Amino acid sequence: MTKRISIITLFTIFLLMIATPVQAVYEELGGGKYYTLIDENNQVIHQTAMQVYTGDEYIAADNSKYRVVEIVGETVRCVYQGKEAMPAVNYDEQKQAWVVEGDAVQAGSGSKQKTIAIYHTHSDESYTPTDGKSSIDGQGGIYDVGNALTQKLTALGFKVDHNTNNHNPHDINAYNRSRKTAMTLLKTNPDVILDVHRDAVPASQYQTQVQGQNATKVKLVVGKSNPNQKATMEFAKQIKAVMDKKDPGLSNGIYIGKGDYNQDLNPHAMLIEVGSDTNNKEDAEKGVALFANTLPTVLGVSSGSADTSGQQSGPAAKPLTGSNRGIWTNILILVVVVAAAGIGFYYLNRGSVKK
Amino acid sequence: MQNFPFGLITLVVISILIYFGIAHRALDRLRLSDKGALAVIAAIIVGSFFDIPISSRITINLGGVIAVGLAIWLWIGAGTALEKTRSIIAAVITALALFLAGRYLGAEPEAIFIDPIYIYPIVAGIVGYLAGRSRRGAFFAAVMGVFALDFGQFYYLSRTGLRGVVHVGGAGAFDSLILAGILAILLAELVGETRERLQGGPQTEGRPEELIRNLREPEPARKPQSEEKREERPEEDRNDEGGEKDD
Repeated sequence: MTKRISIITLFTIFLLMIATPVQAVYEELGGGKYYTLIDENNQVIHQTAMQVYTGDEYIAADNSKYRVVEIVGETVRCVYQGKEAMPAVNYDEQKQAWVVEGDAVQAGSGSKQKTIAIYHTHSDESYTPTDGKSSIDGQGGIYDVGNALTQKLTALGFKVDHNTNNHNPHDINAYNRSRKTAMTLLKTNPDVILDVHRDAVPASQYQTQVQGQNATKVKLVVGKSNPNQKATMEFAKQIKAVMDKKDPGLSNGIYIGKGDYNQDLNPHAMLIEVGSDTNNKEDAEKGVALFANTLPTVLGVSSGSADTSGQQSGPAAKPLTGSNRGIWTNILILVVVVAAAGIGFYYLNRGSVKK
Repeated sequence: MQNFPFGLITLVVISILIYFGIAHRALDRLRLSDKGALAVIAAIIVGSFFDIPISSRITINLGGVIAVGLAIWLWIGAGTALEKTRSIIAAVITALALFLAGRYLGAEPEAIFIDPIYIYPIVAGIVGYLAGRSRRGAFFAAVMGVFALDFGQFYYLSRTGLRGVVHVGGAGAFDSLILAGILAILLAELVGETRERLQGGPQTEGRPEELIRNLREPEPARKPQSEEKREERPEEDRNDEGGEKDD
């Protein structure tokens, strides 16, 4: 009897493990609908067209962290969780550059030119005021935003691999198709791989002014169904911290949703939402160019010198500190989960035949 | 990646080792020997690096093709005509379920959405297992079901005349096709083994004697000894050997 109960318990645990990612997906609401996230005082925190689930988290521009507790129609109730600790970004007078504390990739540690890979899972995403439609099958305005990002990164000294594959139709299988693109891009060993999207909410949610010029904000998205989640989160926090220092007003926070977003393929795989379909594409292009400006600091190279071949200068290598713990926690979780599953399967496979 | 800090490199290496470890463990449960499963994984990894253009619209990845080849090989070697038919039906149902999920799941906000990466193995694992109660059936249904999706996209691109190339098995060892196959085997095993344990062990009635013998839990390994010696030294004595040594 005890054995039977323990088997049922084990099976339930396995089912729960499987069922968690079952709910997970990245999808847009469509039809002009979007979710509005509100806090305990009914203040609007954020709006998004992404599918929202209970348990999702959002780190707002001011680093306030919220947790989704209830979804009623398109209204999402959130509870304030406190301020999220972000990596420190300081200006190094000697190097004349911003430097991220912790485990940002260290300059001078590699001899190759830094590479950034870019692709677009949702090939149709467009900007209505400029493109005329919010969705253009196979060749959305999002590719122009990708081009603007490519130009800026190239000007900063990066090698850029911008893949313009069409992953349409825009359905649940789009990530299955873009996964192949992401793997192809990863073969060239990029330092960062970006999946560039746009949101679908009122323009005001993303419209901003940075350094006196109009631009759209940029939101980072981290997937919880991704085994690298802790590492991806650390990377997102580094990017946001640099955005906040270099271009206050540019960040539209970090959304932590249920999904994978191909982030299991590499700890430096990031999904970015550049503006909304209701914003001007030109503003989105400016926003993404400002975002590009953060990457030299995140990757530990000075602006205009992302090509580190033969370069001896740049921020000094730093000892591993606090923010690195996330990665080791990630490793520990992986090992423990696999060991538990292994023991479970061993136990299931034991025992004799029915008498 | 050479510029990644040590922690990140460790994370990537451990993830890859775990993934291939699980893949090996899963393939091992098919009609493959231990070394055979290892060889297939090695071939998939090496094959992942080769993309073969077939036409302006289709490119196939060698790693993905090996997985499809393995699925077909397993299907050809299926024990009975009934098992073959069941596997085909399971693959068709899986492909249809995935196609319909892609077509209709995305639109309604209240619908239960399923992550693209996990929907394939779950659908294929359940359908494959129900259709044939077999790991091989689940693997075949998953691989062929996801494989069929690529033809869906090919049809879509051809019909609409949009630019785009279909990359069959394009993510190589990490393609949804292979992920789906491996997870489907594990799911079938989990469901199957749990069911058998709950009923008190595998059914033995009407089964061949050799199969039943192999299903029984193996006796603990012993050093090869002659019958006489074993009789002379009962088990209790041997267990006492090398016993307590106080510090």
